[in-house]
Amino acid sequence: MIRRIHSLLAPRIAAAAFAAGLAMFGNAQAQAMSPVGQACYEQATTNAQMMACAGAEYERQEVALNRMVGKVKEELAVADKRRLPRFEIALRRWRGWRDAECAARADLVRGGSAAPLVRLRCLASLTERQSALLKESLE
Amino acid sequence: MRRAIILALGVAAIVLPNGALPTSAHALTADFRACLTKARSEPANADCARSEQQRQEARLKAAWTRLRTASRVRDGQHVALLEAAQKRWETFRQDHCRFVSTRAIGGYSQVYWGARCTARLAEQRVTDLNQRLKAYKR
Repeated sequence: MIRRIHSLLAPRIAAAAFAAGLAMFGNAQAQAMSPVGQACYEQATTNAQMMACAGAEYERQEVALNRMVGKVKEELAVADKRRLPRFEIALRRWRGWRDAECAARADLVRGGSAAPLVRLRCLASLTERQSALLKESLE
Repeated sequence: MRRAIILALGVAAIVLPNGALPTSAHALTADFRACLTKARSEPANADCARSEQQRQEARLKAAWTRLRTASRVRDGQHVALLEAAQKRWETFRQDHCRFVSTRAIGGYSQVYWGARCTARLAEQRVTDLNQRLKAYKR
Protein backbone atom coordinates (compact mmCIF):
# COMPACT_ATOMS: atom_id res chain seq x y z
CA MET A 1 0.00 0.00 0.00
CA ILE A 2 2.74 2.44 1.04
CA ARG A 3 4.71 1.43 -2.04
CA ARG A 4 1.66 2.20 -4.23
CA ILE A 5 1.17 5.64 -2.66
CA HIS A 6 4.86 6.30 -3.12
CA SER A 7 4.76 5.29 -6.77
CA LEU A 8 1.77 7.59 -7.34
CA LEU A 9 3.20 10.59 -5.53
CA ALA A 10 6.87 10.35 -6.44
CA PRO A 11 6.57 11.71 -10.01
CA ARG A 12 4.37 14.57 -8.80
CA ILE A 13 6.75 15.49 -5.99
CA ALA A 14 9.69 15.30 -8.41
CA ALA A 15 7.82 17.49 -10.91
CA ALA A 16 6.99 20.03 -8.19
CA ALA A 17 10.63 20.15 -7.11
CA PHE A 18 11.64 20.43 -10.73
CA ALA A 19 9.21 23.32 -11.31
CA ALA A 20 10.40 25.03 -8.12
CA GLY A 21 14.02 24.76 -9.29
CA LEU A 22 13.03 26.17 -12.63
CA ALA A 23 11.19 29.05 -11.00
CA MET A 24 14.17 29.82 -8.76
CA PHE A 25 16.89 29.82 -11.40
CA GLY A 26 16.01 28.91 -14.94
CA ASN A 27 12.98 31.10 -15.16
CA ALA A 28 14.86 34.22 -14.09
CA GLN A 29 14.83 34.99 -17.80
CA ALA A 30 11.35 35.73 -19.04
CA GLN A 31 10.59 32.93 -21.45
CA ALA A 32 7.48 33.49 -23.47
CA MET A 33 5.53 30.49 -24.69
CA SER A 34 2.84 29.98 -27.29
CA PRO A 35 -0.68 29.33 -25.88
CA VAL A 36 -0.39 25.68 -27.00
CA GLY A 37 2.94 25.32 -25.21
CA GLN A 38 1.59 27.02 -22.10
CA ALA A 39 -1.46 24.72 -21.98
CA CYS A 40 0.75 21.67 -22.41
CA TYR A 41 3.08 22.85 -19.67
CA GLU A 42 0.25 23.54 -17.22
CA GLN A 43 -1.08 20.00 -17.61
CA ALA A 44 2.31 18.34 -17.22
CA THR A 45 2.81 16.57 -13.89
CA THR A 46 6.14 14.82 -14.47
CA ASN A 47 9.60 15.90 -15.58
CA ALA A 48 9.26 13.79 -18.72
CA GLN A 49 5.97 15.49 -19.64
CA MET A 50 7.47 18.95 -19.09
CA MET A 51 10.41 18.01 -21.29
CA ALA A 52 8.04 16.76 -23.99
CA CYS A 53 6.08 20.05 -23.85
CA ALA A 54 9.28 22.10 -24.09
CA GLY A 55 10.59 19.96 -26.96
CA ALA A 56 7.34 20.35 -28.90
CA GLU A 57 7.32 24.10 -28.28
CA TYR A 58 10.89 24.40 -29.56
CA GLU A 59 9.95 22.49 -32.71
CA ARG A 60 6.92 24.76 -33.25
CA GLN A 61 9.08 27.86 -32.93
CA GLU A 62 11.70 26.44 -35.32
CA VAL A 63 8.99 25.80 -37.91
CA ALA A 64 7.64 29.34 -37.46
CA LEU A 65 11.14 30.81 -37.78
CA ASN A 66 11.88 28.85 -40.94
CA ARG A 67 8.63 30.14 -42.39
CA MET A 68 9.64 33.71 -41.54
CA VAL A 69 13.13 33.19 -42.99
CA GLY A 70 11.46 32.01 -46.20
CA LYS A 71 9.32 35.18 -46.30
CA VAL A 72 12.36 37.43 -45.81
CA LYS A 73 14.25 35.61 -48.57
CA GLU A 74 11.27 35.95 -50.92
CA GLU A 75 11.08 39.65 -50.16
CA LEU A 76 14.82 40.10 -50.73
CA ALA A 77 14.69 38.14 -53.98
CA VAL A 78 12.14 40.65 -55.26
CA ALA A 79 13.42 43.87 -53.66
CA ASP A 80 17.22 43.49 -53.54
CA LYS A 81 19.09 40.21 -54.00
CA ARG A 82 22.36 41.86 -52.93
CA ARG A 83 21.12 41.92 -49.33
CA LEU A 84 20.67 38.13 -49.21
CA PRO A 85 24.28 37.20 -48.23
CA ARG A 86 24.19 39.72 -45.36
CA PHE A 87 20.91 38.23 -44.19
CA GLU A 88 22.33 34.71 -44.22
CA ILE A 89 25.43 35.79 -42.29
CA ALA A 90 23.24 37.53 -39.70
CA LEU A 91 21.10 34.42 -39.33
CA ARG A 92 24.16 32.21 -38.78
CA ARG A 93 25.44 34.65 -36.17
CA TRP A 94 22.05 34.59 -34.46
CA ARG A 95 22.12 30.77 -34.21
CA GLY A 96 25.63 30.93 -32.75
CA TRP A 97 24.50 33.43 -30.14
CA ARG A 98 21.28 31.57 -29.30
CA ASP A 99 23.11 28.32 -28.60
CA ALA A 100 25.77 30.04 -26.48
CA GLU A 101 23.13 32.04 -24.60
CA CYS A 102 21.04 28.99 -23.79
CA ALA A 103 24.11 27.06 -22.65
CA ALA A 104 24.89 29.91 -20.25
CA ARG A 105 21.30 30.05 -18.97
CA ALA A 106 21.15 26.28 -18.45
CA ASP A 107 24.45 26.47 -16.59
CA LEU A 108 22.65 28.38 -13.84
CA VAL A 109 21.16 25.01 -12.86
CA ARG A 110 24.18 22.90 -13.86
CA GLY A 111 23.92 19.29 -12.79
CA GLY A 112 20.26 19.62 -11.83
CA SER A 113 17.41 17.83 -13.53
CA ALA A 114 15.99 21.19 -14.67
CA ALA A 115 19.05 22.06 -16.80
CA PRO A 116 17.86 20.40 -20.06
CA LEU A 117 14.42 21.97 -19.61
CA VAL A 118 15.87 25.44 -19.05
CA ARG A 119 17.94 25.02 -22.21
CA LEU A 120 14.96 23.88 -24.30
CA ARG A 121 12.72 26.68 -23.05
CA CYS A 122 15.47 29.18 -23.77
CA LEU A 123 15.92 27.85 -27.32
CA ALA A 124 12.17 28.10 -27.95
CA SER A 125 11.91 31.57 -26.45
CA LEU A 126 14.84 33.06 -28.40
CA THR A 127 13.66 31.39 -31.60
CA GLU A 128 10.25 33.01 -31.14
CA ARG A 129 11.93 36.36 -30.55
CA GLN A 130 14.00 36.01 -33.72
CA SER A 131 10.83 35.40 -35.75
CA ALA A 132 9.42 38.65 -34.35
CA LEU A 133 12.65 40.51 -35.16
CA LEU A 134 12.61 39.26 -38.75
CA LYS A 135 8.95 40.22 -39.06
CA GLU A 136 9.94 43.75 -38.00
CA SER A 137 12.60 43.84 -40.68
CA LEU A 138 9.87 43.28 -43.28
CA GLU A 139 7.82 46.26 -42.09
CA MET B 1 6.75 67.86 -66.93
CA ARG B 2 10.27 67.66 -65.52
CA ARG B 3 9.60 70.74 -63.37
CA ALA B 4 6.38 69.15 -62.10
CA ILE B 5 8.22 65.99 -61.02
CA ILE B 6 10.93 68.01 -59.25
CA LEU B 7 8.24 70.11 -57.53
CA ALA B 8 6.33 66.98 -56.42
CA LEU B 9 9.52 65.44 -55.01
CA GLY B 10 10.30 68.68 -53.17
CA VAL B 11 6.83 68.84 -51.62
CA ALA B 12 7.05 65.18 -50.61
CA ALA B 13 10.41 65.82 -48.95
CA ILE B 14 8.90 68.63 -46.85
CA VAL B 15 5.55 67.03 -46.03
CA LEU B 16 6.89 63.49 -45.51
CA PRO B 17 10.23 63.92 -43.76
CA ASN B 18 9.58 60.71 -41.84
CA GLY B 19 8.55 58.72 -44.88
CA ALA B 20 11.32 56.20 -44.25
CA LEU B 21 10.15 55.49 -40.72
CA PRO B 22 8.49 52.21 -39.80
CA THR B 23 4.76 51.84 -39.41
CA SER B 24 5.14 50.07 -36.07
CA ALA B 25 6.57 52.28 -33.36
CA HIS B 26 6.29 49.67 -30.59
CA ALA B 27 10.05 49.14 -30.56
CA LEU B 28 10.91 52.78 -29.92
CA THR B 29 11.54 54.26 -26.49
CA ALA B 30 9.67 57.41 -25.37
CA ASP B 31 12.83 59.57 -25.75
CA PHE B 32 13.41 58.30 -29.27
CA ARG B 33 9.78 58.84 -30.26
CA ALA B 34 9.80 62.37 -28.82
CA CYS B 35 12.97 63.19 -30.77
CA LEU B 36 11.53 61.82 -34.02
CA THR B 37 8.34 63.82 -33.54
CA LYS B 38 10.38 67.03 -33.56
CA ALA B 39 12.73 65.93 -36.36
CA ARG B 40 11.91 67.45 -39.72
CA SER B 41 14.52 65.92 -42.01
CA GLU B 42 16.48 62.74 -42.65
CA PRO B 43 19.65 64.13 -40.99
CA ALA B 44 17.57 65.02 -37.92
CA ASN B 45 16.07 61.50 -37.84
CA ALA B 46 19.57 60.04 -38.04
CA ASP B 47 20.66 62.28 -35.13
CA CYS B 48 17.74 60.97 -33.06
CA ALA B 49 18.77 57.38 -33.80
CA ARG B 50 22.39 58.08 -32.92
CA SER B 51 21.39 59.70 -29.61
CA GLU B 52 19.19 56.70 -28.82
CA GLN B 53 22.07 54.38 -29.68
CA GLN B 54 24.37 56.24 -27.26
CA ARG B 55 21.76 56.09 -24.50
CA GLN B 56 21.22 52.36 -24.93
CA GLU B 57 24.95 51.63 -25.23
CA ALA B 58 25.56 53.34 -21.88
CA ARG B 59 22.76 51.28 -20.29
CA LEU B 60 24.15 48.10 -21.84
CA LYS B 61 27.65 48.77 -20.57
CA ALA B 62 26.35 49.36 -17.04
CA ALA B 63 24.09 46.25 -17.11
CA TRP B 64 26.91 44.03 -18.39
CA THR B 65 29.33 45.32 -15.74
CA ARG B 66 26.76 44.61 -13.00
CA LEU B 67 26.09 41.11 -14.30
CA ARG B 68 29.76 40.30 -14.84
CA THR B 69 30.49 41.33 -11.24
CA ALA B 70 27.51 39.41 -9.81
CA SER B 71 28.38 36.26 -11.78
CA ARG B 72 31.60 35.89 -9.80
CA VAL B 73 29.60 34.07 -7.14
CA ARG B 74 29.75 31.17 -9.62
CA ASP B 75 32.84 29.31 -10.86
CA GLY B 76 35.12 30.18 -13.77
CA GLN B 77 33.35 27.79 -16.13
CA HIS B 78 30.09 29.65 -15.67
CA VAL B 79 31.70 33.07 -16.12
CA ALA B 80 33.38 31.81 -19.31
CA LEU B 81 30.00 30.67 -20.69
CA LEU B 82 28.49 34.03 -19.84
CA GLU B 83 31.30 35.93 -21.55
CA ALA B 84 31.18 33.70 -24.62
CA ALA B 85 27.43 34.34 -24.94
CA GLN B 86 27.92 38.11 -24.64
CA LYS B 87 30.66 38.06 -27.28
CA ARG B 88 28.44 36.09 -29.67
CA TRP B 89 25.57 38.47 -29.02
CA GLU B 90 27.81 41.43 -29.99
CA THR B 91 28.73 39.68 -33.25
CA PHE B 92 25.10 38.81 -33.96
CA ARG B 93 23.97 42.37 -33.33
CA GLN B 94 26.68 43.80 -35.56
CA ASP B 95 25.80 41.54 -38.49
CA HIS B 96 22.05 41.77 -38.02
CA CYS B 97 22.14 45.57 -37.92
CA ARG B 98 24.48 45.66 -40.90
CA PHE B 99 21.81 43.72 -42.77
CA VAL B 100 18.99 45.95 -41.50
CA SER B 101 20.88 49.16 -42.39
CA THR B 102 21.15 48.09 -46.03
CA ARG B 103 17.41 48.57 -46.53
CA ALA B 104 18.65 52.03 -47.51
CA ILE B 105 21.99 52.26 -49.29
CA GLY B 106 24.07 55.26 -48.29
CA GLY B 107 23.13 58.57 -46.77
CA TYR B 108 21.31 59.46 -43.61
CA SER B 109 18.68 56.79 -44.03
CA GLN B 110 21.26 54.01 -43.77
CA VAL B 111 22.72 55.69 -40.68
CA TYR B 112 19.22 55.93 -39.21
CA TRP B 113 18.38 52.25 -39.72
CA GLY B 114 21.75 51.01 -38.48
CA ALA B 115 21.68 53.12 -35.30
CA ARG B 116 18.03 52.34 -34.62
CA CYS B 117 18.67 48.59 -34.92
CA THR B 118 21.76 48.75 -32.69
CA ALA B 119 19.85 50.69 -30.04
CA ARG B 120 16.82 48.41 -30.22
CA LEU B 121 18.86 45.23 -29.70
CA ALA B 122 20.88 46.86 -26.91
CA GLU B 123 17.64 47.76 -25.12
CA GLN B 124 16.42 44.17 -25.39
CA ARG B 125 19.77 42.85 -24.16
CA VAL B 126 19.69 45.14 -21.13
CA THR B 127 16.32 43.65 -20.16
CA ASP B 128 17.75 40.14 -20.53
CA LEU B 129 20.88 40.91 -18.53
CA ASN B 130 18.91 42.59 -15.75
CA GLN B 131 16.61 39.58 -15.49
CA ARG B 132 19.61 37.25 -15.33
CA LEU B 133 21.03 39.36 -12.52
CA LYS B 134 18.15 38.21 -10.31
CA ALA B 135 19.35 34.60 -10.56
CA TYR B 136 22.67 35.53 -8.92
CA LYS B 137 21.01 37.48 -6.13
CA ARG B 138 18.81 34.66 -4.89
